[in-house]
Amino acid sequence: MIIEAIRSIGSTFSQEQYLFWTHIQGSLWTLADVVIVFYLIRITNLFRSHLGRRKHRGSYFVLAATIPFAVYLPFTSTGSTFFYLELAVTIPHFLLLLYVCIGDANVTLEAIGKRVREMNEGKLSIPADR
Amino acid sequence: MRIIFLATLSIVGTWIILMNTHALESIHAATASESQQALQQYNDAYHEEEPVRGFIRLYLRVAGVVWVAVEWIAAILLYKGYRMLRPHFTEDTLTL
Repeated sequence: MIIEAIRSIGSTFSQEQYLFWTHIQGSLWTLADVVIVFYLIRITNLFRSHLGRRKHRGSYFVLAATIPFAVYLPFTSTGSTFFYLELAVTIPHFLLLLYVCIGDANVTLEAIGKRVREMNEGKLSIPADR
Repeated sequence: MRIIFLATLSIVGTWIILMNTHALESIHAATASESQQALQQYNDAYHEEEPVRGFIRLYLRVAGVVWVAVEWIAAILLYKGYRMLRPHFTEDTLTL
């Protein structure tokens, strides 16, 4: 029964359809990756600038370098090209995420701690519109 | 005498060559037949498994859709988080 259902569903889902939807799906999650990495860097830059530390610059360049590959991704003709291009985009993104998360974990804690102390000392107040 | 000997040798030689050729052709035909049979079996097995492969692709697609949703939720949360944090910390500017 289950085997028959699998065969019935599976026979309507060919490799061509798979590749077509892979282009759409891959583009969607690559775009999501770009947004995630970009705002993660921006958040850590908030913390770094609050502590007076040098902000991320190189991370933005690495992220920007992956954009042309990400733009070309939906136009790849074969599955293997798509796969290698996807690797060229997602591996730098993944390394950036690791670098920012591991490298700036202490910075995040320090910045939040400093901000809490400032609030307790009345040096800075929470904006009224928030 | 010599002519008879050479003629006999030619006939026997030709017969041997013909027999060998025939044997080679038989072997070749048998091999080709077996190859065709093996190829046919492979193709049958491949097409037999096609729906299962299709189902696996469908499963990967559904899992991919879930993953895309999770990624976009994370992206929106990070954006909201950034907007929420920005007024509380020193103004950050993208200077590239």
